[in-house]
Amino acid sequence: MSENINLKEIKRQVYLFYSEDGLADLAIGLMIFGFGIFLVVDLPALVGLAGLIPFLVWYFGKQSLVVPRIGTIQPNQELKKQFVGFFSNMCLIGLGVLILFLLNRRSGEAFLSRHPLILFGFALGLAISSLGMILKTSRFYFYGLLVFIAMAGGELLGSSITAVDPFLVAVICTGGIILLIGSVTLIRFLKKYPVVSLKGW
Amino acid sequence: MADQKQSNLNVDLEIDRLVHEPVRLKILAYLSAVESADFVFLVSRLSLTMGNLSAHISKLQEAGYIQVDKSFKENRPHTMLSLTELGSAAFSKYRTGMLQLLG
Repeated sequence: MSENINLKEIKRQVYLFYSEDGLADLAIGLMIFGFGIFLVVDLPALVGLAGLIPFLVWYFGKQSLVVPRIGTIQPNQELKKQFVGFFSNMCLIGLGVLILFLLNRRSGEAFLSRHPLILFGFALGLAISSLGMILKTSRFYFYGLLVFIAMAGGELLGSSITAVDPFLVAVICTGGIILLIGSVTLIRFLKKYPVVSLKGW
Repeated sequence: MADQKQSNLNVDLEIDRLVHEPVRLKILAYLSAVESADFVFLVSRLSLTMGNLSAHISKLQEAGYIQVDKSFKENRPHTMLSLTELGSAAFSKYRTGMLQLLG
């Protein structure tokens, strides 16, 4: 009888707790999809909901679907530092994007002032990829790239080609793809891990 | 190279048998990667029966290597486990010893 003990793999298994269930994918997909939908139906004031609803889905999904199956963990100092670093870096990137946008706006004809959403797509794509790096989940790199290509591509195509804004179509399709991958990941997770019964224990 | 092998063979390693057992080593390894984890997390990751895991946890708790906090959450028993300083030191010592032994 042999036992494989690999510390790196054990660490990876701990990090998987945050991404194995597909809820993070669902939250990212819902955020992007919702952002596009609220703009299509011309309700920009509700875009904030595109941030709140995914958080609620992630939180309640974790509590009701994940915790009864694989339990819960409290992150150690190393992981907490990584999360804090991630949010600080995202704030800095957001600030950098805002400054770049404002500087380019002054110069009028500059490329980025005509296509500011490319910067937004870059920042969002970078944020999603960074999250993938922290959680050691490679599919998040794909999401980051997809978001950047969709937003930059949609913005560059402009609204002159079709009646519908290609940017919004690209954003909604990207959100839809991520939602689909998240749903498949969640279903596989639910099949793989049955609820652990603690009755009589 | 030969000297290196010779020096590895000369290591006088004191093995903590409590840590050396594979399942307990895995429990300590998992707990070393988190602040704390609950019983269900270890059951799901180690693919053990609850009785088996509980027996190993009791041994580690008796040795003062892990801390066990039992409570009730929404009428369900909830057990959180964390590594104590003693447990963390024992795990580090074992790891260093093994690295030293195996080069």
